[in-house]
Amino acid sequence: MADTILELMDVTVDFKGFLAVDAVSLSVGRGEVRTIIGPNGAGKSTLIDLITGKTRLKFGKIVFDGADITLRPPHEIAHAYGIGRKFQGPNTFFDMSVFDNLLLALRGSTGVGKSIFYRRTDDARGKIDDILRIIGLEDKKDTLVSALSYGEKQWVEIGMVLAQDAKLVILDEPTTGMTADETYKTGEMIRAMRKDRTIIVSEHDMDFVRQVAETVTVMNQGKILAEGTFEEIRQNPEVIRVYLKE
Amino acid sequence: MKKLSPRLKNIPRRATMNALLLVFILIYPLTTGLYQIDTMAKVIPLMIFALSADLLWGYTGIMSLGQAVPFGIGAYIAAISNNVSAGIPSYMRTYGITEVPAVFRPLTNPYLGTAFAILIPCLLSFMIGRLLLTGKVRGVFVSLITMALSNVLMLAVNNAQRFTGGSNGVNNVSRPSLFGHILSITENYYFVALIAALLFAVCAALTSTKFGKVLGAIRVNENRVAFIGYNVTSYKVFVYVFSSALAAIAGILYARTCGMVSPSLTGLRLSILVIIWIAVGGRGNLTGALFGCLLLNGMERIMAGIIGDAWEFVIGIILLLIVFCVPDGLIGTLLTARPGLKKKEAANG
Repeated sequence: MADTILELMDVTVDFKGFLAVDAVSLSVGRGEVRTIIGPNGAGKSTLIDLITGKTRLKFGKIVFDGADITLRPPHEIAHAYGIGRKFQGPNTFFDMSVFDNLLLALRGSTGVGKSIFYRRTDDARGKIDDILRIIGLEDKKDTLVSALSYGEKQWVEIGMVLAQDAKLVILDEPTTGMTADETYKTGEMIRAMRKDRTIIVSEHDMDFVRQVAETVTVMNQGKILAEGTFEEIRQNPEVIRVYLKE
Repeated sequence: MKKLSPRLKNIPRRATMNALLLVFILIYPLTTGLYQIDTMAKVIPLMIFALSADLLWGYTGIMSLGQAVPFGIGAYIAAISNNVSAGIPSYMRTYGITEVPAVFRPLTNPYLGTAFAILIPCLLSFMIGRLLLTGKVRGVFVSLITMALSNVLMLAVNNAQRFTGGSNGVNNVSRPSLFGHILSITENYYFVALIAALLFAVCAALTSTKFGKVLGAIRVNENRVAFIGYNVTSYKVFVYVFSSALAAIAGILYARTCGMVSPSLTGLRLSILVIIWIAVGGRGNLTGALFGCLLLNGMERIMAGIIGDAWEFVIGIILLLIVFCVPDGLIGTLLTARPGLKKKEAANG
């Protein structure tokens, strides 16, 4: 893990006295699949909000791919730095087709002028078709997202993150509300997308974590409790006490 | 083939409605007298005004209750420019003003006057937009703040009597002139209709681009748009300024057609009326805004002669009925109700 792509240094988020993230330092290597687990309220989502610019930190520094992205606005982190994010629960443009959702997320031409004079190229079409294949929705590309099943909506959002062509993809509980079968398919999607990307996944489902994870970070009460391979984590007595006890 | 047919059915609908409207506007002067032509020529600028509000509310989801601000400023600057280009307006003379005030001097040139009538509302909206549309203020609070702006402007116009004629407004505004010739009532009608048609074409083209899709995306899920890399504020400010330019042009044409302006053009009533026209016609498809505007203004002009002020109650009742019974608006419902489609889609999916 010589090449670090994301580094959080002592980051702290203070929600009026409650430290949702408390002096966390974390580094993620290029091309890694990192899973973040932890009980509800451990600070997983807040940590993701922090990296993507949704929440402002009080102390600390975030460095991504050599650039300081601390306190940059979300659209800049997404577009200029290339960090894509999938929210917890499907977060799409429900009254548009699957195709249009992906088209909007496609990297490039996010400025006002560029989008007014945007012409869809064959290249863009090709990319969208590739993504439709990865998320398995080729025959539903003209369907409105609102008409899809819950799991399919989640996949549309994963597709949007793919379309962004991000260097770092962050998936916040991507399998919430999915059947076991859909969860497995999602795991395979993540394995397929990792080729040239770094991926951070926050998750509850331990089978899914086993399927995708290389390194697992365990959070509890805003702090990092443990870090290691899936097997190490599963045997860590501290982790078993606070999280895996059942 | 199955997938194509519902779409083909859909496309002509909106185009047909637009074409019907265009034909109606083109032949209307042939069927009636000068008074009605002039009345209709006052409604057409309001249709441009409705387009401006539909871009903002219907497409982007920003419900401004201050759309009369750019409309009113455009109307006032056009009216004052028209007055001062012919000397000292009579309302200024009553306050002992013997020469054109310095701030109005550029307006003595009619071309500059028109340019300022568009640019100043745009500049104002740019500044308001930069402050208001950053994402910190949202939804109903944007409506409340813009509503306050409407009221502030109306008070200011009422009180700056030396410059604006106060509650009497500015009178003796001439119809537009082209090549030194002041247009007749019928010529002005077609002039206004031509500009409206051009602006409609611009709006239709703009909303059919990827830009239009981004606006729709902002309406349904503003956060997500930012997280796929769009600067939501700059999109909102752009559409806010663009719709202000449309509203200002509408205001200019309205002032020049009516021959006068009064403080009510800047106030809350007009700002709310335009929202009602769009709600009745259907938001987010431009055609609905045009029909809603035409329908309610047509009814208002017919009904006001019969029932007088009771029309205000009627419009309230109409709005309630629409909101509860046809929430997508009249045209919006017609455009989306495609009986054959749902079954076919179900069969396909």
